Amino acid sequence: MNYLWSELRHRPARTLTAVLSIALGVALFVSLQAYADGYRQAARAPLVEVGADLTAQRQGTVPDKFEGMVFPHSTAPIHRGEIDQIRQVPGVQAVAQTLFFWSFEPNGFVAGLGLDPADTIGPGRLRASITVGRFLQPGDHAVAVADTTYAQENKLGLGSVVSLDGESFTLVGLVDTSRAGQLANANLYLPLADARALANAAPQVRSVFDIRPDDANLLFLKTDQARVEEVASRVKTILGQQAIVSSGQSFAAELGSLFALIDRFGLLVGLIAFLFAAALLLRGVASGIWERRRDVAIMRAVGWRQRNVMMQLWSETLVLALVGGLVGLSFAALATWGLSHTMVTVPVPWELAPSPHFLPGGAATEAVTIALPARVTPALVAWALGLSILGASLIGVWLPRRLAQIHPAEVLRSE
Amino acid sequence: MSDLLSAENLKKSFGTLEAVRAANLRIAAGEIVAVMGRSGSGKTTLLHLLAGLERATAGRIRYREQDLSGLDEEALALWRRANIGLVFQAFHLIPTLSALENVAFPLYPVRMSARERRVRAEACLGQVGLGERAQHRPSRLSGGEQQRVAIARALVNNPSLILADEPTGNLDSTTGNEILALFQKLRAETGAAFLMITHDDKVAATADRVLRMADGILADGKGIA
Repeated sequence: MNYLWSELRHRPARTLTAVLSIALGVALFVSLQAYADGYRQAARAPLVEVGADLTAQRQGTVPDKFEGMVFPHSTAPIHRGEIDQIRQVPGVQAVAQTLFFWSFEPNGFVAGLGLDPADTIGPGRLRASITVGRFLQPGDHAVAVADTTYAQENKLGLGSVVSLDGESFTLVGLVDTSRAGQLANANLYLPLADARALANAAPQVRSVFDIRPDDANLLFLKTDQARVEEVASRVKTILGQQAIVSSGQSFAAELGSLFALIDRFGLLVGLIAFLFAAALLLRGVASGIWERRRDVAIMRAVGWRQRNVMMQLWSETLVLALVGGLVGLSFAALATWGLSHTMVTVPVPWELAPSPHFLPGGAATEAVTIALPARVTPALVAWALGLSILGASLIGVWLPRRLAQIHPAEVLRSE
Repeated sequence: MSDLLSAENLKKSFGTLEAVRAANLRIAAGEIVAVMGRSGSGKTTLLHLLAGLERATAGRIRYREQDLSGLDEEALALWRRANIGLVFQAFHLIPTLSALENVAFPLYPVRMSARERRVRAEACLGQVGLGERAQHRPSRLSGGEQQRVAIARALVNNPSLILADEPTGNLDSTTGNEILALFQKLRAETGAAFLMITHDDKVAATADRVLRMADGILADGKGIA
């Protein structure tokens, strides 16, 4: 150990170059992965906020008239039998049924969502965001919960009565939907049974859809994390060609070309940075061995076995790689901390937007803005240190060839 | 007196160049032998052959009846570690280590406690009179002091034979005389034998026997032709 530390301490240029080479490689590798992973998590944020991994819809037909209750054309009815099939798909853990609708009332437009208050995923999660009154409860009828902004704009409060397609609903609570993202965003939330009854009676729904009493038109699915995309594919098959299934990947697609580049090439660029760092370390070690061929010759002359020499040089390389790895992780932690303070706007796909595009403000892109959840995970630390050790070990395997070229007598004679 | 080391008809060629054409010698335990010769006469190659750093093209080397010809590189390294001390004209110290660490250097691969290693190195450094400079690195030592450190390093494994290649070649005459006196003292204290390669008559004069090497041929007057 004395010799190892003396070598590293008394050859500062070589030590510093090797440590910084590895550190920069590790920092770039880890930061890029943390950045890409942060974006992937950010893309899932709208779904995570409502406790789901997928949403399922089916594109339908535009109604003849926008009068009374209509379904947005991205939300055609999904029948009971199809919902039961989806529940049976391997990897599906829970399905929340909702009925999303627009209602064109004489005094304005209302986006409504019928939900089952017993659901633990989907808009049922809004119960945690109640600001006044209470959330919907199982068995409720003819009551509604209003979005706080909508309530303020329309001067509504607890006990106010709102009319939807001729039916009256009493407000029992106000909910702040701003933190629940845009996937469950509506002006009024009704019991699912009431929404179904309205839909089944609505002429503009009946005229374009085969609406049935147990139908839903927007499903929230909780799935096995390892099978999200597999489930998405199966659900698309069940719902047919018009299926619109949104997953974290769908949201990621909305993030633009920068994320696509990082997502696709981040790992590759990181690995190239790592290989470049390993090459610099190799070069440093190789030139170090060449500079130290006299030392190696002395080692052999005073009775060091070849494996003693190799172990010494390998230990030095390993320590350099580990120190470089740790320094690189520190750089990466700093860079990732900086990244975690940047805000990311995740656009919501148009088919999940709550307002029709033809209304004032309806064409505005809905989005969820969050701090980039970038962090250096234990897995990334393990990868970085593992790659450092692997690089050092591979160089350690390469050393014997160089060592074999050193003939102690020849070196000692010429020095 | 039985031979500690003997060489018979030793030959070493580098391509077409015959560096050692026929070398014969015997070294007894505790003996100081000088091998004299001009530059290029094959002296250093002979020393490397005797130390197992070079492989002989032909001939045989025996150490206490053990034939070294059959040993591979690793076995030769272990043999050197157990029996041989080497001293070079250019000292060949490790620049990043202190004097004490340089002395302990041959013991690093040996299984022993750090304390025992330090005690042995300190003792050897004391034997060559450099106990006070233990923590100095070679760059802060004079030539004579560096050679003393190299001699202490050669002693640290308690060798029975020290092979020295021009041990005073890089030193002024006063310091060179001190080194030669040190060899005599160490021989008396440790009973080790010394083989010195030199081209200096004054150095050779301090040896028990002087062998002359010319054109790669060395004949030992002790009976090996």
